[in-house]
Amino acid sequence: MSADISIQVTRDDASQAVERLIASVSPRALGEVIWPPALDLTRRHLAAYKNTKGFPSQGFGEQLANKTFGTATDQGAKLVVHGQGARALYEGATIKPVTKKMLCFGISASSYGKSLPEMFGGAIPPRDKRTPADKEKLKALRKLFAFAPSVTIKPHPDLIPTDDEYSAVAMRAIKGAIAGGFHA
Amino acid sequence: MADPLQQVLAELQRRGQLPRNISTAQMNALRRSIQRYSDYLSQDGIKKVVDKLTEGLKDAMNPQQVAGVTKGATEGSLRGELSNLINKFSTVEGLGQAINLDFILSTATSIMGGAARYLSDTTPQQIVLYPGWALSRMAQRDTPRGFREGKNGVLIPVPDDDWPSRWQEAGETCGDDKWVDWKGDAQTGEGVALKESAIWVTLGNLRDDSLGNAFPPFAYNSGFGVSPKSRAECIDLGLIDPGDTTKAPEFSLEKLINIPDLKKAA
Repeated sequence: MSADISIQVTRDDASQAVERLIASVSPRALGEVIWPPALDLTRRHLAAYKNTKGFPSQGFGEQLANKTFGTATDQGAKLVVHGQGARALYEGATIKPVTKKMLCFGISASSYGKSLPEMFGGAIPPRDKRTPADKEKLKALRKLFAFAPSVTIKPHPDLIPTDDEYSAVAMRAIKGAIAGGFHA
Repeated sequence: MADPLQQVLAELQRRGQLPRNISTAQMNALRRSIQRYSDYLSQDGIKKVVDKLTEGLKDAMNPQQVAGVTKGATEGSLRGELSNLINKFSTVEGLGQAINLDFILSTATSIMGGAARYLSDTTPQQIVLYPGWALSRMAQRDTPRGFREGKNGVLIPVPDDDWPSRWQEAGETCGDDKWVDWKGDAQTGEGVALKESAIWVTLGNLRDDSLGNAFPPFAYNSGFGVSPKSRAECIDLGLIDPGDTTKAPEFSLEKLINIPDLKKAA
């Protein structure tokens, strides 16, 4: 003997609830939870970044922090450090002069972050128009600057927080969101 | 041809640096706000150059008798002063120093960054997930607010000027109770309020060094910023009840960025 069982759905409360639940844990929804604390972590980390030589800070890290933004995407969360020089410092790079023959950079606490004309007090006159005073000044300044055909910057992976730090922040954010009633 | 500023804003949206869910009208309002701000900065720079020249001329035209001695510029001294000034302006670096360009640019960049994060922080999703902000130190300063530098770099306290004092004053005058007292000390503590609280607008308009915005930096050369506070944290602090919903702060995109008086701190 066999029995025929037929099920007819007259009301479906479950599908909508399941769909809402799935949507609530979509990468974008989780990204909305994660990016604000991840952004905060990154900006504080950048703002505390110190140059390795210990020269007076030019505020580079803080400038990067000011140019750092976050958003949710279809893949999760995205942080953008939109500051010039950030990628070169993070990944490492070789910098070569484009319009001049040599690069010139400050190598002492007083010249660090400044240009040679800035320290000279104006545009440097051409060789044939330099006064003895100009020559003396330039001779003194040359001790504060180095010239090189190129400069290689080694990678600084510590420029941004570690993956572990991001994971910890993301987990804390998700737990916090659940505690605050984050659900479908 | 499309407006270049509009193109920049569209590009920022594409990169995720501005929220996508703002209408064309809101986008236009934001564009006008930024245009107004950048026009002001360029005009202010030119004005400073002219001011420096006219100050010298006024001084020469109006010598003052002080204790029997004539004080003020003479034709000769003025010629020397103006020559020095023109020499400074003959280089880009000199002109930059004369109009305090570094300061203007760094302040303007901070304000623009703060405005963009303010927009991202106040979307409907973010208001639900993170209804509050905490004000706390983000970057170190040699002379923090609440101090002034004395002889040999010694820090001398300036009562009532630090951020906890400003927080308290802003809270008491903002007209709502969507904020809690400052917790901790001036340098490592924090003040928490709902994003919808008027304390943020008040904080940006409290003192002579305020920049007039509802987002950080609230004052010139400030190292303080805001961090998100989750719904659970806001409930724990008593700022909202578990069943409560909060609103986005009210603001006009057209007036998002205040025109600051950069001369105050120059």
